[in-house]
Order: sequence, then structure tokens, then C-alpha cells
Amino acid sequence: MEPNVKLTIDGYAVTVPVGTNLLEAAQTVGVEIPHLCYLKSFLGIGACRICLVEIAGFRAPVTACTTLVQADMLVITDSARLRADRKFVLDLILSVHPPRCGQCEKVGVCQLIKYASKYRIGKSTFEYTEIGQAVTDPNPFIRRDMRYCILCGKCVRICQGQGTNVLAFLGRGIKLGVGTPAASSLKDNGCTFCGSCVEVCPVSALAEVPKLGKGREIKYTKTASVCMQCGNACPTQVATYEDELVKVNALDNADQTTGYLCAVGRFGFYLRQGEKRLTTPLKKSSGIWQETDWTEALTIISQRFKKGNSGLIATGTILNQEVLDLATFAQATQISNLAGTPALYASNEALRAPAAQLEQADLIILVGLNPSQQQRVFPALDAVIKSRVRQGAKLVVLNDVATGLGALAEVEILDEPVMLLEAFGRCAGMSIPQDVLGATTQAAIIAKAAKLYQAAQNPVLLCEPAYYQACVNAIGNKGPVLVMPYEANAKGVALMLPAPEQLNCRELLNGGVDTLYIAGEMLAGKNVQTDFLIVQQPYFNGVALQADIVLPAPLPWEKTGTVVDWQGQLKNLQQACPVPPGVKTYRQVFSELGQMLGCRLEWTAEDAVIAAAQLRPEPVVRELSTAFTPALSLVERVKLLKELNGLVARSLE
Amino acid sequence: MEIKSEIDSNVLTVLTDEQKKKAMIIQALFVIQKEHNYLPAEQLKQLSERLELSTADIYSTASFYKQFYMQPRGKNVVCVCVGTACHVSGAPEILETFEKTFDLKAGETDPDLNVTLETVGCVGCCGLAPVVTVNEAEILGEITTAEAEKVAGKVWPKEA
Ligand code: SF4
Ligand code: SF4
Ligand code: SF4
Ligand code: FES
Ligand code: FES
Repeated sequence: MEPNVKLTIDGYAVTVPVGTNLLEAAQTVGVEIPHLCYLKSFLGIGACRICLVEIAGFRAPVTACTTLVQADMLVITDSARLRADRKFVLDLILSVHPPRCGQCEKVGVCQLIKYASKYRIGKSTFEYTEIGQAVTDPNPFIRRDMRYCILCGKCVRICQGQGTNVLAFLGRGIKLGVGTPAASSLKDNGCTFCGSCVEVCPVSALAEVPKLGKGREIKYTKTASVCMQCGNACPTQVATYEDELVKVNALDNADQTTGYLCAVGRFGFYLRQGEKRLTTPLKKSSGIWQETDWTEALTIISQRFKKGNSGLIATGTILNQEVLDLATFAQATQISNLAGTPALYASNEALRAPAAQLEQADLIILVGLNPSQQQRVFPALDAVIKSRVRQGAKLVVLNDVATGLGALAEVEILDEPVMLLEAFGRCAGMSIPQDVLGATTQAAIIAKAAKLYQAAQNPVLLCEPAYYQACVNAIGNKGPVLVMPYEANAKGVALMLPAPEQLNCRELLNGGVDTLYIAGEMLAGKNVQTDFLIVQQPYFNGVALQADIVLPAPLPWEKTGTVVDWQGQLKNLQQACPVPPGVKTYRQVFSELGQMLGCRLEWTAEDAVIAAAQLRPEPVVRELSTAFTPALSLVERVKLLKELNGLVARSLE
Repeated sequence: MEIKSEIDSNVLTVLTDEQKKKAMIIQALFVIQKEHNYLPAEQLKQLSERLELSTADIYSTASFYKQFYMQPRGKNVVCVCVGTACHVSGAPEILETFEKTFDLKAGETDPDLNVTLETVGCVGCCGLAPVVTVNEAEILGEITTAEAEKVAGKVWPKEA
């Protein structure tokens, strides 16, 4: 732990770690110093000059974002002089900012107008000079209009910090601008369209294309939700305008790892508008799809269930409460075959392992995973690891193929991971002589990794699910082992469901039952062999195409509930949009089916979800040879994630 | 000598690979410009691939320095000083003269690469204002519009 410093800010006694800047120190006691260019977790650059504060003994005001705390400092963040200074700074910024706030849709999140009205400056006292220009770069995601840019550099820094490095400061002096070289397109510069740059832009220079023309942000309603598109389960903030979803932001929440969303999480809602959203049940009769009504569809299903030999599957894309509702339904109707799709790629122990946070890790050991923003394989994980490394954490990579993160790793060892983990585990328990470390043999490199592990305070092993047990065997109890699942609520499903009584998920999918019901979007491409297949999901795609009956389901932002994310944390979703007419929730469906089957269903209460989410086994133990063989090959598993990439790539063509 | 190399190696250990590569950019740009007379986009792309740095890094360095050119340059470069002293002594008229005779705007080069017309902020001999330089070798002080026309005709003789 860093030692602390005591100082006084606006009369408040403040105690913060050495190295904290005044802006963040003030925030700890609720004092908000105006700022336009400061970007959390990055070094202050002092570009905008609006965070000026006075310090006793200093002749002139200094910028709070670049000044570090010192013992016994006396800081004043508000005074007549500071107000006048800030007003002048704003006056200068506004002199090169288009005087068109009246029409600007960013009002509501624009920081410039926020401060302009706080310091009561309507229009610059200087004559407006236009600098920069609107950029011609047609794409479905990001609109750039550099006339609005105030050169805070946040977009450049965030893109660099997460390792994509698309944007740069170009030119100098009055010609200084921010953008891509020689006005080339974002796409040609390797942009992944994650939208982080839009997220941090304090003004209207960068904006999301889908929301253009959909009113001013001040009128938007914002609701917390979670992206359910991959195992990262990124927390989101969903903005709606007149019940329509208009944009998605990353949820900036101090205790979450990521303020990052990939293009799928941020723009996916918009990309999928072209796909066929189900708003009425469909049935297939003699090979032809027909629309049907709910009564008929549910009657057919209940008759199938009455015949017996049925199975139910919860996918990792539905919420905890929905999984429990499915379990309640199974129990009441005595359908004993109930399983979850996460079991296709991870063991129950791996999924139920205790929660852990990457945020605090000073050493990350990445096993068998190759996250990549460019390929959109766990893109948020890639961004998080890169920003952790930027902030000083060390990285060790164990994999059998070269990874995109290898260049950032302190140690990268390429070989069969289970074998490497065994060798690593042996080294980790020994004292390693210094002279071994200079050598370049594989043994010496493993020893180097073990040495890093021994020195780390908070090591975290992060692995592909198949390597969970090998990781646990390698390290025992120092540092948690986290598996990265492929579905957003994989861990929730494992925690909510009882262990399968009869057939497991793979057996159910391979024809173990005559009638099979699947709740939620199934992993794409899996061939389901069953006599009669029922799928309930929002879109008509994937496994639904193999079904006999397809039922519509709500999208994540149309429901309230929780998931357990990859770090084992419970995350909340709040309903932001109404469930469209014709769509029924899972609970409605179970309840109506229950009635038809003559069963009374008693739903589990919300606190049961929380209890189940906290139900964790005893600390992990080393076991010999409990190797877990996933039902899906690694290639198939990674392919699931590539589907996401396809969605984005197609939209850019 | 030995001490120095020890310092060097210590410095190198604190530099990350990325910093070492970034330090290379300017040298590389000089080499490219020497060969091509400007920085062709294709060369910069190759440089970014070779150094495994983003094109953003390369362009942001290149565009910071006035000495690096992103466009092909003419065989001759006429540079009109528009610094304060020259400005008050008539630089705007001088510049206009060149613009008219060459039919080029400041910063432009003719398609056949005969001449590039540029401006600069103070050459450092304000006593001679207004000042024009040709190919950074010849410094013409106290220049008049008539002389400017002559210089233009000499640098880029056009058939009548
Ligand atoms: S969208 Fe993402 S990758 Fe593209 S420029 Fe913005 S921050 Fe960089
Ligand atoms: S585009 Fe936005 S974030 Fe980027 S420098 Fe300009 S104002 Fe700042
Ligand atoms: S990384 Fe995964 S969970 Fe996060 S926004 Fe992208 S698709 Fe959604
Ligand atoms: S926030 Fe400190 S100078 Fe911009
Ligand atoms: S202003 Fe032209 S030489 Fe100084």
C-alpha cells in the first residue's frame, strides 16, 4: 500500500495515497473541480486549464489535474479569482467552438455547455473563428465533426491506452487537430469501432451515428443494463427516448473492471435491427414455417410435455431469475432433465469458483486465452488487460499459440498449457536461484514466471475454462483462478441450477429426450438432435432454424434481473424498454404452460437469487486428473465469438 | 568509455521497446525524405509496419515538424517570410506577387513539380525585411514586388 498524505481542500481534511492528483483528492470529499481534459486513470496533461485551483504559498493558480498532493497543502477550489480565471478560459475555448448549442444534440452530456452555464458565459466575447472541419468518413457508427473539437486529447489517450492507437494529434499550432492520418477513414486505420473515443469526448466532436436526429441527450432516460453478447458481460447504460433504445454507453462504475464496450455491445442493438425480431410464435409444419398464436403454440408444447421424456435447457444468455423460474417450472412439472449450456465448455467447479477482480491484480497469468479487440474475441478483456499493464501490472502468457498480448507480456511461453502449468506449479513452490533467470531455456523462462508469481501481492490466473483444474493444481491457494466463460451469464446459470439429475446438456442436445425446450439464444451452429425442439429467443436465427416451435423472448434491455459475470460479481439489469406486443417473458410462458399442465408454480423470491449467487464451494483444492473435456472443441468455442465479429464486419462493408 | 556504455545500457533498460521504436521515427523520416524529397504515404505505411507502431504514431510525429513534407515538392522552393517584421514591411504583397505569377497558393506545388511556394514565420534577419529565400540557400532581403516577379521568372521560366 502507498503511504498516505494529509492535506486540506476547501476546509475538508483529506487523506489520500501519495501520487494522487488534486482533482481526484478533492473528489474523495465530494468537491468537484471543473475539468475538461482530465481522464480518469491517465496522467493529467493540463491542456484545458479549467481545473485551476489556488494553493496557499503559491503565487498563481495551478492546474489540479497535474498537481500531486503534498503534505499539509492548503487548497482552495473556488474563489472570485478562480471563477474569473475559469470564465476567461471558457471564453477562449468558446471562441473557437461553433456557437450552435441551440441545435446541438449533445446537450445533456456536453461538459462545455455545463461549465459555460455554471460560469454564466453565453457566448464568447471574442469573434468566433472556425478551426477544424467535419470529417467525411461514412460508417454506421461514429460521426466526426472536428469543428466542435476542443483538443482535450481524451479520445487519443483512451484509444492509445486500450492499445488500439488509431487516433493521433496531427499538425501543430493553429493547425493542430485530432484524427486519423491524412483524413483517412477510421476503418483503414484499424479502428474496431468500440466507441471509447465517443464515450470520453466532452463535446459534440464525436457522436454515435445511430442516435443522430433522435433528440437531445438531456431528454434521454438512462438505465443500467448488461451486454449479454459474450462472456465479458460488460455493464452498460442504456439510453431511451420515447421508449426507443437510442444508444448504449459503458457504465462507468468504480468497482467494475471495465469502462469499455466493444462495437457489438455499443452498437449491436442497432446492427440487429435488420434481423428478424420474433413477435409472434412460429411453428414448422411439414417443413414450412407458419405464424401461429400463443394459445396454439403453448397447447402443442404442453401436449408434448405430457407425453414425458422431455428436457429443459437454460442458456447462458438468460438472467438468474429466469434460470430459477425454469428450475421452478421443472420441479412443478416433474421434468427432471434440466441442464445449462455453460456445461458444454466448463466444469461446474470452474463456473462456481469464488469471485475475484482483475482490477486489483498486480500480476495476471493468462492461460490458453487469446483475447483480441481486432478479432472481437473477448474484446473487453483485451482492453482491460492492456490498461492494467499500462498501469503497472505484470503479464505472463501461457498458450500453445502466439497471442496478441504477447508483446506486452513480461514472459510469454508457447507450449502445451497443461504441461507448462505443471512445470510452473513445481517452480512456484521452490526458491529460485538468481543465476537461473538469465538463461533462455524453457525451464529458465518458466522459473522467471514463477519468480514473478512469488513476488506478486495479488496474482490472478485467468484461463480458458478447459484449463481450470490444471491452474488450480499449479498454484493452490495464492491468488484466485478465474475462468473466462463464453456466455454472459454462464456463472449465474451454474450457480442457479442444481446439478443435472439425469442427462447432462450434451446428452440432451444429442437426442437424449424426445421433446426439448431451450430458453435463450443457444450457442450458434450446434446441431440439435431431438424429435421435437422448442426454442424461445428474441431473434429468428441460429438454433431456432432447427426448431419445431419458436417462441419470441424479450431482449436484455426489456427485462429486469441479475447475472453473475465472469469475475463472479452480481450485476443488475433494469428494464429500459417495454416488452413489444406479441412477446412473452419466460415466466409468462412457464406460468401458462404450468396451468395447462395442471401445476401450481411458486416463484422463488429475488433474495433467493442473491443467496444462490453467493453460494460458493469451499476454497479450491488440488486434485489429480479431474481433467474436464469440453463438449465443444476450442475451435468451435472461439467460433462462437467470431459470430460477433461477423456482425460488425458485415455492417462495414 | 566503459562508464559511458554502462550508463547507456542502464538507459536502455528503462526504455520500453515501444519507446525505443518511437525514438527511431524521426531518423527514419529523414532517410525517407532524403530519398523521395517528401514522405510518400506508402513509405509511411511500410515504416509503421516495420516498427510495429500505428500509423497514428508516425503521422503525429511527422506532422509536428515543418521540415517534413507529406506532398511532393517542386525542384525549387520559394519561401516568403511572413513574420512580424516582414509582414509590416510588405510581405503580403510579395506573397501575392508570387501567388499570381506562379498561379499557386501558399503551400502549393505545381503539378509538374517545378516549384513549391511556401511561407515561414521569421527567418531571423528581420533587418532585411521583407525577406524571401530560394531553396533555403539564397536569401533575398528588402525585396520589392518588381524584384519578386523577376525571381519568379528565373526560378520557373514559363514559355511566353
Ligand atoms: S472507436 Fe475505438 S478503436 Fe476506433 S478510434 Fe475510437 S477508441 Fe479507437
Ligand atoms: S474529438 Fe472530442 S475527445 Fe477528441 S480531442 Fe476533440 S474534444 Fe477531445
Ligand atoms: S466484450 Fe462482449 S459483453 Fe462486452 S460489449 Fe462486447 S460483446 Fe458485449
Ligand atoms: S482538467 Fe486539468 S487542465 Fe484540463
Ligand atoms: S520577420 Fe521575416 S525575417 Fe524576421
